Amino acid sequence: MRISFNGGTAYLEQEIYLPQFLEQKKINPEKVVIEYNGEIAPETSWPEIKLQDGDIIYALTFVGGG
Amino acid sequence: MSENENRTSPFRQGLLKHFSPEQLAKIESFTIGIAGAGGLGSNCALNLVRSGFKHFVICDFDLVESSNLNRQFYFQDQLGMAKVEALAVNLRRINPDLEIVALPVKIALGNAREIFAGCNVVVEAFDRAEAKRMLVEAFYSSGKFLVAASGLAGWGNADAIMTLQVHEYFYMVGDLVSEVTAGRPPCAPRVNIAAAKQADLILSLALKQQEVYSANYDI
Repeated sequence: MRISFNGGTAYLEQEIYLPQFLEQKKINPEKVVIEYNGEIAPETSWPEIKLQDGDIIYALTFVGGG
Repeated sequence: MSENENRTSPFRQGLLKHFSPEQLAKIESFTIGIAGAGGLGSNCALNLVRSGFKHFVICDFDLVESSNLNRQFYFQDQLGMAKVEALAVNLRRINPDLEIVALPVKIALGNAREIFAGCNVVVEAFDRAEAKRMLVEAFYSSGKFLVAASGLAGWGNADAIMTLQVHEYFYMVGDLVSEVTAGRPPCAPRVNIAAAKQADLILSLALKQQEVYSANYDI
């Protein structure tokens, strides 16, 4: 299965849900906004998102300071 | 000079030396929401007021502390004041005719859209990454212009602080990586650059020149 992640390509060997994918990518879920196939995916929806072939994901991670 | 021009304040007369009446009318028609009145929010507001914006909703529950004075638009005699109150005072010294809704409340996912319901643009000006993320999640699909910031700590390499268009209504300013840490504090120059770029983007949006910022977002 092949998905687009942050403009690049990621290959997944097995079915996986979004929270596990973020964990694999070592992304802190508290500091990231996820755009999933062109729409913002609120954190509450993540556990229901099973990644599919051709999905397009952008993970926008914030850093502190202001 | 027309009667209307006679009534206009010296500050507004000064703006009309730089903007056409049509341009200033566009700027004055905007209402700007500012989420957080710290280094980003206070300095972004300062730049927006000097650019002619008049209508603001500014939200922050903090008080002015000594550690703020290295970069935020407050003064030593304002220590202990609510930031939103002190900021309203300071901004009105630039333009006495501002309409500011100053809210000393905490913004959360549950109240963010309501607080800024009357705003055309929302400025994300928090310090904590978790709060930035919350606000972006709240407004990402709202149809309002959202101008966030991420990556402005420390000093040096200031040209890395960029304006990125993430999607049609969502822009982000910063180098995306420079996080505040023990050895990398938030300092006036980089914080001001980011805040000024947020303000410049909003001015460009108001004057319909947002195509200037057509860089694709790619991380």
